[in-house]
Amino acid sequence: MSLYDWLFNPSGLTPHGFCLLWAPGLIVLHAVSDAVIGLAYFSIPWALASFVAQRKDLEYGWVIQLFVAFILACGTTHFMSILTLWSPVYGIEGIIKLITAGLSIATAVILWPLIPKLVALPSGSQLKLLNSQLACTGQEQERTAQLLRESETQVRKSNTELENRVKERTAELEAANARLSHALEQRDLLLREVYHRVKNNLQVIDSIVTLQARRLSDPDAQNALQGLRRRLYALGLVHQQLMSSSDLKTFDVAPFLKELSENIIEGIGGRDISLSVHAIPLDVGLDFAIPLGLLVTELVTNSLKHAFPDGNGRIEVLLDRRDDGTMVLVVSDNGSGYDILEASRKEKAPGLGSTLIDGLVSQLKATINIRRTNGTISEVLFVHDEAP
Amino acid sequence: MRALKKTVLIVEDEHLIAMGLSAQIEDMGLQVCATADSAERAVAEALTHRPAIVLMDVRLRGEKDGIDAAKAIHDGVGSKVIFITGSREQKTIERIGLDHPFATLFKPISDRQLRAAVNDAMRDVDHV
Repeated sequence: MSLYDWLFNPSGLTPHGFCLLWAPGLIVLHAVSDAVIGLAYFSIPWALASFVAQRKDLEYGWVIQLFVAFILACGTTHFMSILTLWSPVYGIEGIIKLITAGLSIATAVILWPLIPKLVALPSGSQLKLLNSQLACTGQEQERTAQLLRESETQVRKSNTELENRVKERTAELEAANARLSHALEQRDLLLREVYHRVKNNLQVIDSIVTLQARRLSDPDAQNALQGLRRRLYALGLVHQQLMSSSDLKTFDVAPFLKELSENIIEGIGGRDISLSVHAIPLDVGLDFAIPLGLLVTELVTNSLKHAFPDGNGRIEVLLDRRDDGTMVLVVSDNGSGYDILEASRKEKAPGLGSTLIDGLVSQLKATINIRRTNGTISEVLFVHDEAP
Repeated sequence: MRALKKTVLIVEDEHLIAMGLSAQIEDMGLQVCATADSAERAVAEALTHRPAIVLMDVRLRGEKDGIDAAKAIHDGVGSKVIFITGSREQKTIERIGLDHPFATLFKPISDRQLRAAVNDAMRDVDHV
């Protein structure tokens, strides 16, 4: 028997109805049941195929396709069962069952390992939950963004207010600054004016003294007035130096001492006296410069008057700071040696010069030491705090 | 230009200071031709007396000051001008500098400074 005959030539076999003894009840029961099952099995894959066709986004859609093929094959076997009731095409029926078997086993084999993957697929409710959570987060974000926008507006407003306040404050400060600068200018102007007036008044007094001296015939009286003029000059010179200083409060003592000493030597003229003045740079104020200037005036005058009977010699003025900070003023000459303080002690009434020296030394809180070795050396020690 | 006379004009608004300066000048053996207390008077006296030397204060009576007067006297008469100023302000000193000053003395002026400046000026005049 050839394979073709075995499949398509069933002669010699009996139809399945024969086994049922052609009992109409059984025939009808099997035929109708298989027909209903077959129709249902054809309907289900159609529905599934239509579903897959419409849901292009389905993951594992091919598994459903496999179901479609498997169920179609199953349906076909039921129709073949109806056919074999009357026609014994068991070969074709077997082939179709074989195809069905292949599809069923393939589906069964493929399905098991697929289960965990399918389980892992998010379900609709999960997606819905996620979606609602996402929606919540979105709303949250929108609220945050809104809050951010509000605070941004607030910050911008505060910033503007701050800028305005800074502007106002700056303007106030500038105005205050201008007022202060103006007040300072006024103060400087006033100070200069005061120094100017003081100097002018001293010059007026000097003029009066000059005029008075010319009217006196007594040499002692004339000398006394010349001495007064020297002291007035020292006072005036302090104010002149102050007026030309940048801060109107202090000036360098060195040029002051030089100018002062030169004037005294020139004033008691007609002699050949050499003078040297050495002073460290030192900023001094009015309170210190006046007693210092007057003291130098007395000491230099003293040397000029007593040291050089023959009219020539040398006078040195020195201002220095010792290592321990003490200031030392030295007025020395190479003359005959004369201690004004000792001389005045010997006399009953002390002279004006020694009285002034005593007073000025006290004023400076200084000590004075006069030595006679190759001339007279007057050494004044005192403490000078730097002018503030 | 006519010759200058060996006299000194004193321009100073403080009369006592002017008198003191006059005494000092006379003690040097020189003659004071006049004193003036304003710029206008100073220029008029200088034109009249043609002094060799003018001692000039900066602050004077009236609108104009010594610097204005000095310029007019320098241009019109040619006297040597010695400024005697109480001010040490930079502005004043700069203005004086533009004015052909022979010398500038700052108050208080000592006999020595005055004598030196006047003698120098007189020597200059002698040379002309």
